[in-house]
Amino acid sequence: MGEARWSAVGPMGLHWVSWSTTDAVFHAETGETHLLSEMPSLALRLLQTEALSTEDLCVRCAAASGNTDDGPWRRKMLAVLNSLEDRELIERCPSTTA
Amino acid sequence: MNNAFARAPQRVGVRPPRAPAIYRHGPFTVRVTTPLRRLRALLSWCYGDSEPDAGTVLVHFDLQVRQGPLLRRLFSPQAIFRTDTATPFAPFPRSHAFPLLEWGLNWCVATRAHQFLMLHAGVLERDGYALVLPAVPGSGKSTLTAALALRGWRLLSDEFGLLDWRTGLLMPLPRAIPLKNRSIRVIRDFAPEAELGPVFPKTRKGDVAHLRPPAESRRRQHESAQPAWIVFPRYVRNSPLQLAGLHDSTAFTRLSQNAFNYRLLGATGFDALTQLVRSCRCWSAQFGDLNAMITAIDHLPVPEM
Repeated sequence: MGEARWSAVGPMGLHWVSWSTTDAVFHAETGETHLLSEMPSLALRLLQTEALSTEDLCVRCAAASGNTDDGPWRRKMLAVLNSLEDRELIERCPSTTA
Repeated sequence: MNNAFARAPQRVGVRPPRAPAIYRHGPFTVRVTTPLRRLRALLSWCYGDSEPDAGTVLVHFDLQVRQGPLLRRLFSPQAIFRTDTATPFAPFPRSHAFPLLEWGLNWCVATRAHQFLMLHAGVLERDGYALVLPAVPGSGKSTLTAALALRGWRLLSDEFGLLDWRTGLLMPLPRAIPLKNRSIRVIRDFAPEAELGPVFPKTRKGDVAHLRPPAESRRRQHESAQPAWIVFPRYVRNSPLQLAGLHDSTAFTRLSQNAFNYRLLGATGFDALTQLVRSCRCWSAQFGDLNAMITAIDHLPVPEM
C-alpha cells in the first residue's frame, strides 16, 4: 500500500475569509463553517488546488510557513490532516494501484 | 398608571369590525384579520391607521387572530393566531391577543424572510450609520434598544437585524418593543414620557408591556442604514461598564450563532456575514447601569469611510 494522497472535499465550494491569525472557511459540501488556524488553513488551501501526498504536503507546508520539515513537524501535520479529515474538509484519494 | 394606550383616543370602528387591515412594517406588508376590538385598537394605537384591504396589495404575511370555540368565549376566552398556512402556537388568553400577534409576526419573519440574513438583534441608526446589538434572550437587548430609541437614535428594530446581502444595508422593521418584567419599570423611570401600552401580566415571558415605536422611526421605515458598529450587550446587575473590542473572527463566530437563518443561506450567508463584520467595528459590552452604557455607545468612534 502506497503513501496516502489527500484532496479537498468539494474544493470549488470552499469560501474563505482571512483575519490576522485565523481564517474562516465555509464548506458548501457540508454547509458548515470552520475556523482554522494557520497550519490547517495552509494545508487545506494547498489541497484545494491539487491532490497531494502526505510527503509533498509536509514539505510544501513547511516551506510556506518557514518551518523545518522534521519529525515533530510531521507529527503536527498528521494531526492537522486527521482533524481536517474528521471535519470532512479533506479525504484520502482512492488508490490508483491494485 | 402610566399607560399611553389607555390615555389615547380610541379610533376603532372606522371600518367594519371584521374587515382585514393592512399594515406596512418596513419591507413587509401584513394583513391582519381579527374580530377582537381591543386588539384592533391596540394595533391602531401602536402602528397608526391601517390601510383598507382593496385586494390589490401584495401581502407578505396574512395573519388572523380568532376567538376560541364558543364555550371558551364564556369561560376563559382564548385568542388563536393563524397564518395562511399554519397555526403555530397553542391558544393564548384573549386578553393576551396583542403579544400573541406580535410574537406570531416575529415567527413569520424568522421562518420566511430568507431574502435577508436575519440577526437576532436590536438595530438603531444615527447619522446614517447603524448600530447592531446582537444578543441572547435575557441580555438586556430590548431595554437597551428602547432606551437608545428614547435618546435620539432611530429605531430600526428591536428583534431583527435584517441584512440585505445584495446591498450590505440593514432594513428597518420598526415595531413595538416588548419590555418584560423589571424592564418595564426601568424604562418608565428612565423616560417617564415613554409611550408604553398596557401591561400583559403572566404571559409566557412574564409581564410584558410594549413601547410604541417612535413616529419618526415609523415615518422612515423604508430608509435602510449602513452597518457601522456591532456591540454584543450583556446586562449584569451592579456591574461596572466593561466595553472591550472584539476580534473580527470572534464577532463573526458569535454572529453566525446568533443569526436565525445563517445555515440555511449557505454561502450567501457566509459572504453576507463576512461583509458585515468587515464594515463594522465590534465590541463586547457588560453593563449594570443603562445611562453609562448609553453614554459609551454615544461615544463610539465615527466610522471612517
